[in-house]
Order: sequence, then structure tokens, then C-alpha cells
Amino acid sequence: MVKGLVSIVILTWNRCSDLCETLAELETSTYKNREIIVVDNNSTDGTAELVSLKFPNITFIELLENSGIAGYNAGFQKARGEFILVLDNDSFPANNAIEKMVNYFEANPSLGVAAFDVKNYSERQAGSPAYKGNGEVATGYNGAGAGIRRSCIERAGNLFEPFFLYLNEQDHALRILRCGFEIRLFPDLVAYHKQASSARSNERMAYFHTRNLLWMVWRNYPLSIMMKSTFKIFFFAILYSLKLKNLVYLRAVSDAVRNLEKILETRTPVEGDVIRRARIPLTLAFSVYG
Amino acid sequence: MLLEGHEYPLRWRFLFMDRGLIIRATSVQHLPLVAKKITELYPHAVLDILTHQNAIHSLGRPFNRDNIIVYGCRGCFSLRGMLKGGVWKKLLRKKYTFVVVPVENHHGSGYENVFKVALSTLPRNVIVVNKQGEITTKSLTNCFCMLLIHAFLFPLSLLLSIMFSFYFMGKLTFSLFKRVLRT
Repeated sequence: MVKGLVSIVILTWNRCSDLCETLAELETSTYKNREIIVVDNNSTDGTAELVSLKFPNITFIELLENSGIAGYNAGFQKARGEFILVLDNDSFPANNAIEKMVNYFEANPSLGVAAFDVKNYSERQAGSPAYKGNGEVATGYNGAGAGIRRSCIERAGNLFEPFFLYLNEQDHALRILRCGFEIRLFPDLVAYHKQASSARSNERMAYFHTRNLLWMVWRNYPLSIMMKSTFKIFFFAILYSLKLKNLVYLRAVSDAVRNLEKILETRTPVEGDVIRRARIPLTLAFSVYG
Repeated sequence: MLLEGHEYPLRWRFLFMDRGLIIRATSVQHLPLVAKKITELYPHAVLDILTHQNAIHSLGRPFNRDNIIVYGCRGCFSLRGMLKGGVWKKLLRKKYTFVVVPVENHHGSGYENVFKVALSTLPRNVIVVNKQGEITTKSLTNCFCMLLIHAFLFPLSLLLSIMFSFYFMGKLTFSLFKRVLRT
């Protein structure tokens, strides 16, 4: 591990132009002690060739198949830095944000995650808002912009790969809190993120959200809250399947329950108070489809 | 003779201005698009935003401190919470012309609680804005019918989920039992 080094880990799949824009923006960052690691989930739009040509100094990891968020774990393994900045392939930090992030980490040894204030790409402006404080206590982070202390990942573990997509950050955040680290949101750590293109399948989103929500609940929630939340999710899955006349939610619930034993083996519940503060909406999975 | 709205003295103009409430039901990232679309529809409207206290620090333009209405309590909009007063009474006093419900999908499913809050403030209409910025204006009757259908499916879903939960409990008990035996 190299002290003071920031490893920027970006996961990508078939968004070559957005990725190139992100990498170009990172080059304007004021913090120079950094390395950039791009993990490619087997893109088919020529990402590997174009990025290697335009940005020869970055570390490019090409995976043989699309393995979802497992790509981030491959990036974490390759990273040498003391701090890891997680970005989406269509998000980038303001040019002074990384420097500020490092300062916040150095000032607070118990800070595990410095969550960025992720704003819409259309709100882009020079600089970042003035802020004097120790950050706002948070119970989650946005994968489009978050700084994570390397020792925090070593203790809390990597992202849970079976999720594939969605809710991995929330699951990870609960584990980080369980290990005693803090997650704080800093209003002056700004990242800009483009809205996800509508080409990404809604049904896929609904399926993964529902299935992963159940898995996250079973992995992290204390038993009594887990039972109540599971019942609520079953109820919503049936209600919205009847309402929308679509089986995607029931399919997700069925797949989740089929893997119940495997998920229970990874169960390490957090305190009930953390769950209550996190305010994770159980209906989120049922509002993304359509 | 009635004057045009802008010709009245400034202190009277608030009587004629449209007043809108945006309920923050989606990510903060979605809000600038929502505000932009609403401003195109109602260029002279004053917009307030209703949000949980956790999100205050992430709100930026076009919302300033005077336009942000914060709720912190869990049951603020339950029947008991509403009867107690607090945030709900504050919203009622403001007499909103319209309430905006931002949604991730096209049909508003999953946002029934948000629609209930919207209806409880007795606006003239409810405007739904999805992630792509498409706007649908729903009358109060329309919203009420949507909630009625939702309520109609409630008992059947409850019954089926109870049955499925028994199956799940059985599977969970069996899995935990296997784990204990293994250790």
C-alpha cells in the first residue's frame, strides 16, 4: 500500500464515449498522486482498444465476461493506494474534490467512506461549494462517487459478488458500519453523474433490485427486523405483480428464496439502530419498472 | 376592473401566484430536471420542496432555505401524525395549486404513499414527472381511483404473502437447523 496514493477504480461496460469523457476529466484533477484503474466487463463496443490508445497511462483490466460488480473487486485487488475512489463510467469528481477527500481522510482516522455529493451532469459548474465541517453522518454511499479507505475494505470485505448489480453499495455500507467505521457525506466533495440511459432494461433493474433487496435484508438485518421486512417485500412483490400484470417481481423473489441457504452462510447482522437510521425504502424495487 | 396579476401591488401578488409543492420521492439528481419542467409549465409559480432532513445538504439550485419543508419524524404523514399537526398542517396552510410527484417509472406504481401525501394537501391537481422529464397531469379523481385500485388488491396480496411467508419460515427454520447441526 502506498501512503497518500489514491486509486481511482472505474467499472465499465459498453459506454466508451462516457468513459473517455470521465478519464479526460480525471486528468484535470489537482491531486496528482493517483492511479487510475479501469475494469472492463467484456465490452463489445471497442472500449478496450480506444481507451488503451487514448489513455496509455491507466491500468486497464479486461475481464473475460460481464461479471457485474465483481469487476470492482478486481480493481480493489489491483489498487495500491491508501484510498480508493469508486466511480461509475459516466461520473467524475470536481477537479479539486480528490484533494479535499484525502484531507478529510487524514483528519479523521475512523472515517471509512467519504461519500460524494453526486449531482446531475447538467448542474456542472466550476469549483465546489464552500463547506466547513466534519461531514454529515450517513448510512450509505453512492457508487458514482465515493472514497473508501483501503483498510476499511480489508476489514469489511469486498462487494458481495452474487448481487451482480444494484444495492451492492448499501450492503457494503452496512458492513462497513458494522466494523466500526464512519460514513460521512461531504457537501463540498462533488461528483457529476449522467442519468442512466433508458436503454438499460427496466425489467432487469426491477429483478435485481427485488432479489438483492431480499438478500441484503437476510445478510444484514437483525432477525426480528429481517422477518418483518421480508414479509413486507413479499407483500409488495405480490401486490405489484397483480397490479402491473408482470411476473418479474415474483421471479426475483423465487430466485432469492432458492438461494436462501447460501445467503444465510454470509449473514452478519448489524444493530437495529443502524437499520432504522439507514431508512432503506422497501418499495424502491417496485418503483423502477415500467 | 380586474388588473392582470403583475399589475397588483407586490404585497398582493402572492394571492394570484401559483404555488407548487415538489415531494422529493426520487433521487436528488432528478430534481433539477423536475424543477425545469415545472417551471416551463408554470413560469411564475413559487416552488417548495418537501424532503426528509437527511437530504437537505444535497439540495441546491433552484431551492433555497425558505422553500424547503423538512419532515424528520417517521409517522409525520400517518393518520395520527396528520391529526397531531406539524408538517401536514403547514402544507395545508400553504394552499398549493399543484403538487409534483417525481417518479422513476411511467405509471406511478410504488409511489402510493407519496400520492396520499399529495392528495392530503388538497391541491387542484397532481403532476407526475418521470425520469425522462415527461409530464402527466392527474386530477384528484384520477389519483383517488389509482389509490382505490391499490386498496382493492391489498387484501388478496396480504393473503398470498401470508401463505408464502409460512413457506419461507419453514425453509428458513430448516436452513438454520442444518447450520446448527453442521457446527
